[in-house]
Amino acid sequence: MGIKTVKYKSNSIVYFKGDAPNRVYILKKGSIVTKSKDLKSNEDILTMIKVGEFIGVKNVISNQPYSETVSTLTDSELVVFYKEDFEAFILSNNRIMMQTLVVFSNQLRKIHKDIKELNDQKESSVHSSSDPEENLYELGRYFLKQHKVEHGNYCFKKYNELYPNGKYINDIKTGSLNSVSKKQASSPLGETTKEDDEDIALFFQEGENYMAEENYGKAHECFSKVLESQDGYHKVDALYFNGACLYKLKNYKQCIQNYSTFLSKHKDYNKINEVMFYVGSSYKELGDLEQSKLFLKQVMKRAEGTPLSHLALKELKG
Amino acid sequence: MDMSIFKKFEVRYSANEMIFCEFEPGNEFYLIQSGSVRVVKVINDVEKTLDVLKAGEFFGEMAILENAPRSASIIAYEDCVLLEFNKNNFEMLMKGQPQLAFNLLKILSKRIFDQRRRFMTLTIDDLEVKLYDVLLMLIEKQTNFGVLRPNTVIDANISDIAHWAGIPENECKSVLEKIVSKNKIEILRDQIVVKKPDSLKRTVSQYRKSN
Repeated sequence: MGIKTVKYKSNSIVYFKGDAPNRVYILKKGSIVTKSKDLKSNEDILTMIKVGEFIGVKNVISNQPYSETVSTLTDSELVVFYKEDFEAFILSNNRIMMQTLVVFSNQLRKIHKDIKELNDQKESSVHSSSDPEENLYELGRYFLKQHKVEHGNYCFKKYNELYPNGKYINDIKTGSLNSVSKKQASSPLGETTKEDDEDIALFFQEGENYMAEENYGKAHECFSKVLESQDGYHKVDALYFNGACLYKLKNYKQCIQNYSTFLSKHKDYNKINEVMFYVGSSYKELGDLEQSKLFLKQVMKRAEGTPLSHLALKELKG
Repeated sequence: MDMSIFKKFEVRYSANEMIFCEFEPGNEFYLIQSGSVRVVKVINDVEKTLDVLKAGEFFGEMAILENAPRSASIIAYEDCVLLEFNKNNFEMLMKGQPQLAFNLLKILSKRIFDQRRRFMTLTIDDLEVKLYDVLLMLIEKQTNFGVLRPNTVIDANISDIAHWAGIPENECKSVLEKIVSKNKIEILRDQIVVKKPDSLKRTVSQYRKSN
């Protein structure tokens, strides 16, 4: 154990590919060569090691078998660190630690790039741009198409910050970034004026934004549009939020109508207790105390210990 | 490690919230305190989850080390608490907590090996051989130094295999069924039994030599 210098005759093997990774070496004197396989061509690659260079670091740190065979070309001297000593050495040497981090990070990015190129080659019909501006825009579009409006908007918000005069800025500004009425603005993707999938997803997102601003009138308009559409996506959520808006707008009768079949059709919905609360409270406001009691008692029982249960109790007593 | 001194760097994200997206410039690096995040890349109009990172793991360090745009999007998988560092306090953190820096080195080097291995799989055009190689890679991942034993059980389902092979799930399913019919593997609920991994390895080696 310990750090020591070892002498090797020419044409000796320092370690074989596949050996257990228990030592890091530094070339002190002489010349050594590593033999590994090229990932792309599967051909042997020989690499000369410079004096002062480390060998085997990545394998020792990640406990992966050596990935190349190392041999001497001439009589050579190598400094040998056993695993524990190498860890102690690098932990006490911040400069080498940071340099190694940068080297590893570069290698990782390179391999990511190679994988991307390989994927692109195999699916060459699909255009892939190296322009980060276009890529960011396309990424936002992709998320919108997938109804992941929050993620799409995040990408567009970044685009807006990074490329305020960018080539897609108009598409984005008239689109989803702000809560623009779809009837007044062109489609965010500039493709069609029809209320297509993206529009519906955007109406839903707008509705949620209005809810957060407590503008229940506008939110109700947005959710109504989602409910009128043929698209089933977001429909249950829209129905839930629409009922909440109607309750907040004191349209109690409509709120009950909105939820009329909800309890039987979507009994596993994650906000079913809230639905019961809105229905129960609406009945109370309409003076039907018997019906109100039925629903609110259910809420108290099902949501016991939560703020909603306290609210239900308050409604029952009040 | 006592992380209480880093409380001021704490940030919180709700499940499904985007932490950053691919191609945006990055100035922050994150250490997961609790919860988990998905590493996502959209490749040829298909969203692929490259990894799920949990408490104790890092992400975003490459942007800090290299000043390059983000190479993947990160989306909160569950509600999570992260420590967010920028370039200046990243170096401070690394100097002040060398063990943390060393852990980062371990993670990076492990990722390099994993990705290189993945690359090798992707170079195989024959789908059956490609899936053999994915199965072998998964065995290597869960055993030390890739010791191959008969009837090795891998914790993976068809969707995982399709992901690693970079092919659609239905295509993957039909090739796996072919491999089942050759009595080389058995597919259980969330596991796959590789009956004779060494024979798979021979086939992959022969393929590599002849191509």
